[in-house]
Amino acid sequence: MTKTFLVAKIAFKEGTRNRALHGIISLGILLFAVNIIVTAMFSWEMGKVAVDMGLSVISLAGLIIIFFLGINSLSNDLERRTIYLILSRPLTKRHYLVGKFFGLGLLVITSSLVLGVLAAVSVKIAMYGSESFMPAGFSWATFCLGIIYQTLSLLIVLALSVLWVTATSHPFTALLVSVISYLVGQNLENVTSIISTSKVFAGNPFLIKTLEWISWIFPNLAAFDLKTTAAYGLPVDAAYLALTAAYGISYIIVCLTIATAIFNRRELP
Amino acid sequence: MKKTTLLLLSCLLGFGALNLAAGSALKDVRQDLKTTYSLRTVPVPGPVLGMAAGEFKGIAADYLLMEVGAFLGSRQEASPEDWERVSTALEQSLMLDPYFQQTYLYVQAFLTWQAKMPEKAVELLKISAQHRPWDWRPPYYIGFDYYFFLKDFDNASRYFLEAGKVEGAPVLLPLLGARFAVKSGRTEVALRLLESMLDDPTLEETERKEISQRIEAMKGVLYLKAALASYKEKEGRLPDSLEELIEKDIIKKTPSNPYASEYLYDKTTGYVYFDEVK
Amino acid sequence: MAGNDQAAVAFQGVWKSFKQGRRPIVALRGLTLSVAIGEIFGFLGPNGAGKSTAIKLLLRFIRPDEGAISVDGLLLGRDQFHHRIGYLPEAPCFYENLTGLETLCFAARASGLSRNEAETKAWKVLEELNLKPAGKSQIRTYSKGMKQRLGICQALIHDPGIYILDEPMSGLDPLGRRLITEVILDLRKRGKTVFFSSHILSDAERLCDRIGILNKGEMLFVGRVDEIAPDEKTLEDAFVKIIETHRGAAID
Repeated sequence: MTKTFLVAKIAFKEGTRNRALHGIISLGILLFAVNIIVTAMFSWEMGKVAVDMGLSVISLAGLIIIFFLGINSLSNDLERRTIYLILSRPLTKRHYLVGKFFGLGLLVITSSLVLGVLAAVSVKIAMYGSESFMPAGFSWATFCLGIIYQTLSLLIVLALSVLWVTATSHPFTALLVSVISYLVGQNLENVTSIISTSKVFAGNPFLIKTLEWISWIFPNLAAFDLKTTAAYGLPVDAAYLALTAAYGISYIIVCLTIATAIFNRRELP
Repeated sequence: MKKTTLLLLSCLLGFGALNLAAGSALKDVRQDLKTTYSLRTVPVPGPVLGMAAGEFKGIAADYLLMEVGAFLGSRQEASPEDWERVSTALEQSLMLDPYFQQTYLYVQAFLTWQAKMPEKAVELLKISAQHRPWDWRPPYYIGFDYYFFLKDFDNASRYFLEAGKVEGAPVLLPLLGARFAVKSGRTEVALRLLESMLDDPTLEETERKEISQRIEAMKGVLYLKAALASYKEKEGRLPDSLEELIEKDIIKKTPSNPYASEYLYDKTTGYVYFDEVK
Repeated sequence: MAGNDQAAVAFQGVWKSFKQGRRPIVALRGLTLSVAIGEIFGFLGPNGAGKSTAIKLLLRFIRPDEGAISVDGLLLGRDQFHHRIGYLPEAPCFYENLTGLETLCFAARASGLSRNEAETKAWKVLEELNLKPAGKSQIRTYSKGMKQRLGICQALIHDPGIYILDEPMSGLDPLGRRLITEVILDLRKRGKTVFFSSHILSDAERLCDRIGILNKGEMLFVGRVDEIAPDEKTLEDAFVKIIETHRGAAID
């Protein structure tokens, strides 16, 4: 655990000093300023728009951090052989991968936290003087839940990206497959429900079966998207939250296990 | 050295001037374009749009509404094709985020009075009503549209009563629902609706003024109708003009009409109007 | 002999090939080599001879197709051995946003030193390699030579018994080379084993107890510098001769 922690620590430190990260966070802050303007263009339930914008910016920033910073950091270690400095120590590839995941994950969590606070501030400012225009059920607790589950979904995408970096030979391929996994994860539930309820595909059990298989492989990211719930303060079910969290965390562990298995077999010439 | 400096300087000045000129010309052209600014909608089914938006459905819905708002704000009159596009955009926005209040308010504000598409409005409002069980407005609007535009008193009564069941709904709603069941008081209902809209603290000053004027005009109509009724009771016939009401001492003077110098009166039917539309 | 308790580093009949496209390229052909404890061993050969491959096998970054490798009597693939060695990669790359000190502390902690020990040691090796003033600067501000010296620092920090240095002199100016030479001589004084690859023959000549010459994955010579070709005046002449003889033999 100490060894994993050591790798996580340097991955996190390296990440926090990355100028790209500063750029992403600045962009986030800029978008919050935009949020205040955009919100003013609506005259009803502006609070919903403000919350929507806030949560979407957090998600977007997290995705950019994973797809560019995260995948880059992992593949640079391999391409530039920075990993030699780690693996020439009494550290295993598992320490490296899990440590990297925690380091980068902490980076994503930090970004969500910082942007989350800023998002809340921007919602406050945007709604200043018109608090009655918050949707009726809105609560900051649901807002926080929205951010937490969104971050969990980002961590799943990160774990998948770690897996794809170990499984592919080129960073661009890893990026592409990770983005595709994200998109599939976001939409699979939607597509499956359309196809299984549509009459057009009713006679095609093969297609439905295939989709069912795919849905076991890719994560159901739509389940973690509580933006609408948070924006309107819709009621949330504790059992649903627990189930989703269990699903997400176990998915991450499975991803990292497979990634380690692949990486252990891989040579690093 | 000097030659290079000169070359660079002339490039900077020459192309700089060209850029400024082209830029300002472009601005003019764009200005003209703005008058023909049209709403861009992609005719795709909601689920497909939802897929494209992924986890960013919420802001995609907001964006569509902003487009609609910008379009309606930039244009004096809209063609039926334009309204068709507005209705598509509103429908797509509802597919992306069926909860948003602004969407159904746009639907009610534009698709009924201006676009004359009450059926579509009712269809879209039903989506909102289904997703916002805590909100009495969507079923109330549906009821109103059924009553006012579609003359379907049955459904109107049903939705008014439904709206009245929502916590925090005005007491008026169940009353209206009950009255519609016996098909009466059309002007009165419209008046009540308008008055309830005035309670909304979010109204713009101009909107408030508009509604107040309409209320005043409708009150004038109701007042004159009552006077006509008592005239008829007294004289056994309808008067030839509204002035006769004053001559017969039924009223002191005709109420002021915010939309015209005076109220219009149809002596064959006995109807009173505050504007030309009949 | 491989697995011999006396050997610090031992290769026993090691074969390694890589797939390049569809054709496998053989990098090492039955490499057998033994470096005794306390020895300074120079691993020489032209570019592409297989030196780097051998060193990567030694670090277990890649695995041999055939044969056995052991370090300090520990068999690779079976035993943990990384705590016994200090390794300098060829043209080492670091996390550019970390400082030299942070990098060294990580290295020391990963090799089992305590937090306090790590920092004390880090400053000590930084001083030894003339990097003390840059200790708290981010590595992206370092020159190539400074990175090379930082690489040496992290190989030294946990004071292992065996050092595996891949081209330790490359990218250094004469002063830097002098510094590394002194470090290696100091290691010899302290009874450490140094296994380093180089294509700079003069360095090898000055430092090594024994050298090995590798060409096209085959060991052509292992022995003391003066044994290689007594007729030739310099090591360079001897080196060229031995490689050319091998080439001629390969053509025949």
